[in-house]
Amino acid sequence: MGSNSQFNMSDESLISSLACGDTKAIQYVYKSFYPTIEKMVFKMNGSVDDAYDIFQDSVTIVYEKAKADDLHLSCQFSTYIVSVAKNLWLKKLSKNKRQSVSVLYDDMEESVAVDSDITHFLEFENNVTILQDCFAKIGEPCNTLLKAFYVENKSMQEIAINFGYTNTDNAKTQKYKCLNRLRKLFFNKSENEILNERTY
Amino acid sequence: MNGPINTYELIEKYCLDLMDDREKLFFEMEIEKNPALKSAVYDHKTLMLSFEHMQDRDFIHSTLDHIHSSSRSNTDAVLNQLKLHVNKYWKTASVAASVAFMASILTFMVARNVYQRDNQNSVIQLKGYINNIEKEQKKINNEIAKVKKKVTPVPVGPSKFTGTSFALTQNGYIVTNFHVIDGYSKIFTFTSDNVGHQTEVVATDEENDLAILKITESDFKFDSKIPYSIKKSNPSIAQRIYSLGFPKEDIVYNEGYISSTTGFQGDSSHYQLELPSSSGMSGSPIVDESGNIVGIISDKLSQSEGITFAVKSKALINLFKKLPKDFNSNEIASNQIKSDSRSNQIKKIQPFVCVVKVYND
Repeated sequence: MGSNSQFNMSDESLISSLACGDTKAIQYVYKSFYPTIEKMVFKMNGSVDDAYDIFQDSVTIVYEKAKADDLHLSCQFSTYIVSVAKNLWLKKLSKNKRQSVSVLYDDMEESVAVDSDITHFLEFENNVTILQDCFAKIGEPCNTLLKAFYVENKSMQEIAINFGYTNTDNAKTQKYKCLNRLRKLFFNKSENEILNERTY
Repeated sequence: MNGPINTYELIEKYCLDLMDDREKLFFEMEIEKNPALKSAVYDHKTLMLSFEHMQDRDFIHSTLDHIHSSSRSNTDAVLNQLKLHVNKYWKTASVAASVAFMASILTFMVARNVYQRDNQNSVIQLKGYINNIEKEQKKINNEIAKVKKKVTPVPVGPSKFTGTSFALTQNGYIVTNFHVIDGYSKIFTFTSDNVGHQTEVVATDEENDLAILKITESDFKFDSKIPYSIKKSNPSIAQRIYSLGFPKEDIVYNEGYISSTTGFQGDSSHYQLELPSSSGMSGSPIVDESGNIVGIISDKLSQSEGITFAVKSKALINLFKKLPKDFNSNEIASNQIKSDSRSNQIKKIQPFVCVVKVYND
């Protein structure tokens, strides 16, 4: 229902709004590219859930690159994001040993090299999986304390107050102990399991 | 360097790039000399980048989930409007809708069946089948659109953007943010009875992010007189305020306080509020405890939870100068709800808060 004609945004301004985490830019990306990517994943034997997962991952990739001022494209933004999505999905498929499908979608228009971006992304997706696992293991108060500092960007003063430490130094000592535990778990785990866990 | 804690603080300081040049130089020399330190720095960087990635992906996931689910409910909303407006043609519409429904169920069932098989032939077959169904659906949609056109001028399909607005006069002057309507030619205001009215832009102040609009129907009138007044003077810090807006299809109430009398980066035309807000609430009135409007929500800090910025009402009053003669600012000069309880105030304000939807041609 309704026309799909979009109010157009130049690639340049789109990328700079994305870099600031502007929700309107994300909304624009959703409206402009979700239908195309969904259709593409359908054509390559994917489900609705697959399509949405792949889309979320693709947007995360462009957002992180834009934020790091590392999204200097030699092609159109649309070509880039569609290539990212396509390659993510092909990777996931080949992991599941269903390569035959790639033949089906060989008529794909133009495509750009996105391999290194995807590899980098998958590596950190894997790290997050491990991190979440470690967070679950280190228990309280470490879990909440580390998340407050490293994920929610709270200051040590705030944390000292929230966690009832008498001063910032005590909070810092506690944070150090927690980080040490997390580090041990994280690096042990990633050495042993990085190759077996979710890399698509 | 003494003790592991201090070393770690240094590593963290180095990774966050908080060292001055001299300190950094020394630390880098130390890293070169000490392989254990080098690998500790490398590990710490990996861990920090992983934290950052966790933050980024959570942000994108939650933002997209919100957009994804609201784009679904938007489609539902359009269907609801359709239902409201095509009462006369209900029979046709319901038959068409049920045909569409059956077709989509059939598509779903067939698609599920075939997609589960890894068979190239059946996939191609399916393509033809879907094409036929798509054609049928297009026909049905066109018919529904035709039926709808006869009844109301509100465009079919989800709007490109929505915001909140509120009334300035009984004859249909309303105000919203400039960014809500910027670049769009088709604007519709949905009053509290959920009826869409064609609306035009009368005056704008891009710098202060304000736009005054007017509902174009010549016989349009809000049901009663404007109950609130627009306050000229600036309220002070810590004053409690509340807002009414449309982050979703239904009106939502929020309350908070004025946390700063300047906006983002010291912008003196704005306030900073401690007030939850989300997209769709641009243009919402900020009301003080006695029912005076003191500002208009314009934006929020992306990624922050409760910080919202609002344009001061003074900027709005200044914009009145640009309005034609049928605008009477006396209508919003006196406050009739001063002594009402909060819930009575809201009951009286609510009919004057509207949704603005914009569409492309």
